Amino acid sequence: MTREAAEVSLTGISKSFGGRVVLDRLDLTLDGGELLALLGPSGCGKTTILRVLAGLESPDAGTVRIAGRDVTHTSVRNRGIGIVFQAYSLFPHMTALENVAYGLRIRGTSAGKRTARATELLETVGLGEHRDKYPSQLSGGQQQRVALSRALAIEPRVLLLDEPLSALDAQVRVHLRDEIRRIQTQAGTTTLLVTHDQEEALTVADRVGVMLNGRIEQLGTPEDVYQRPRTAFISEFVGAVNRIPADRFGAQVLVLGRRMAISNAAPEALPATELEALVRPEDLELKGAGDGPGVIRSLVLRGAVTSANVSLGGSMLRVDLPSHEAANFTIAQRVDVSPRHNTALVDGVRNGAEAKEEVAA
Amino acid sequence: MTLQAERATGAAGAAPSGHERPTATRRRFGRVAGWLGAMPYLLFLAVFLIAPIATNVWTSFQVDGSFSLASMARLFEPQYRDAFMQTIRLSLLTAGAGGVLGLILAWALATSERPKWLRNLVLSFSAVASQLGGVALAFAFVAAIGVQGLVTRMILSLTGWSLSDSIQLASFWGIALVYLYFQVPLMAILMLPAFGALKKQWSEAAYSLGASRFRYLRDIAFPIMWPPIIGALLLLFANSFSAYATAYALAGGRVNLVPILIGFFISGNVMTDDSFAAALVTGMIVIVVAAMGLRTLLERRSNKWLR
Repeated sequence: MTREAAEVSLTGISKSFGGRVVLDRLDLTLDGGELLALLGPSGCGKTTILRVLAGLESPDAGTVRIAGRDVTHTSVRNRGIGIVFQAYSLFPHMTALENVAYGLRIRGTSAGKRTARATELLETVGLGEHRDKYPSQLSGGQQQRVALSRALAIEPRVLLLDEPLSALDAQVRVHLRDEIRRIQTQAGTTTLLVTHDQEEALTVADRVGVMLNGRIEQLGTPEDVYQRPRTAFISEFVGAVNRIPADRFGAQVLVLGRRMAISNAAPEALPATELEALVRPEDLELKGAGDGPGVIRSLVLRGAVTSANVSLGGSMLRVDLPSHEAANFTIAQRVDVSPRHNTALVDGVRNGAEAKEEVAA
Repeated sequence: MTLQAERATGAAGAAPSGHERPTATRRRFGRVAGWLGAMPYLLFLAVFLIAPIATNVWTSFQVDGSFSLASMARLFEPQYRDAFMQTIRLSLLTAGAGGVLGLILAWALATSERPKWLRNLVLSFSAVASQLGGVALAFAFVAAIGVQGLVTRMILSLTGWSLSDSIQLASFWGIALVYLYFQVPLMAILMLPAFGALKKQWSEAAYSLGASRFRYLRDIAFPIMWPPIIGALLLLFANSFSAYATAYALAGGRVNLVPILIGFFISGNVMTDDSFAAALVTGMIVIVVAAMGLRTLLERRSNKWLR
């Protein structure tokens, strides 16, 4: 399964559909063997990048290189690419085994060899017993496993995953997510994952690229993107965030009575007032205080973590704390809220109704 | 309450049969209710399938009020055997040619998006044309490319060549041509949903696995489309096999076709023979049933995945 991991590079890719610019001179490089996730809302152009890389869409401008070779004008079938689609991509008239073996059949591999190889792959994804079933007899999760095996059977230089888990239910999704990561690491295939699910991107990827309007807003490790978002959009898209009114003093802001350094690229360019600091729920601290300014309105158990919704100075804040600590608090209790860290991303004030909706969600 | 009643029966002791009766009744009631639910379905089968076939078969074995094999035996006389052969040939020809052309039309309708108005126009026209058989259609063809037809005369005056010498409407080939007028759009209408069911991911997955366009069509598209194609061809065959008005209006008795013969024996001005007309219908039923059986057999063999 291991083959020299191919580096992939897209340079200056532009693409428009019917006058609408979807990609605008985009550059992206995948190191050999890495799993890069493109994360973004629908319509941001992430799927178009995948399709351009696959050769299913040809770019208006720019170059696509796989392992140093210019493949911009090479057809899909000669690019050495494996694709897993969102759903329903298995050939319905072929068994799981025949589906997986199809790529090898086209390459003229002997029947015995391709059966052995396909069986081995199906066993890797735990479907050895189901090899003779038709897609309609398999569950959604099983179908995606077969699709993954089929894509890997041809030992592709690049694996493309187009929202492969979004049609599955939550439990299967988490399980299969881990499995995709395991198999990808094992195979060492350079992989591009396109998703709108931030948790999926953060948990499986080596690097995450957050996209908006045809551009990559930030590209970095999952920690980078989550802990040090470069823009307000990224901060809000990757995880939950509170917008807390703040005032600026030089390169610092005053948030909930605490001075925090501004992490924006150009803090001096920001206005002095009408600002909001973006702080993640788990980066806020809750202290019981009889005369505290905040009041706990609700406590929502999310498993290991509990979210306390606190009304404070006319706005609602979400504070996440370990559930065992949350047991010390009650609804209607007065509390003190303070930031845990001393840096924050700052953004201009947004319309109030919208902000409230955000916290509720 | 149920519990008490059961205990009471139990206390009565020697009444095992009394204990069983309620459940048996309930089971019987359940079975009756199940059949009741299927009533509309059964009624449909009885009225539309079983009754007509039964009365028809019965009539074909009755001559002058008593049982006889005479009518059925006459089916094998050369004249009538020829009628069956001609009708089957006509049906195979128009189903085959109409099937191929209709498939291409459906493919064009399914894949070309622009201009949308043209697509919609062709689509609704096909729906109408597929049902436009009969005398009106026959007349339209006669008026266009008949001996005195508009197109015939125009071509004659322009080139001196007579179209009606090459294509005689009142012949086997003329009838075949006119049948194509409804067979092609019928095939297109029947196949359109099947084309819609071909998912884009299948072709893209196949290409990514290294398939050429030809291999995709051969390995993926065609095997998936095969059952609906066979089903549609069978319908085209039956459609042509039983068409009467169009053929009669075009050729009268000049072409030896089974539906026209049946017409003669039911309401002919020379002779009427209900029993023999029924025998001819029985012959037709046998052929259509055989075609349906063949289709089922083909599908069974090639489509385990559909079950």
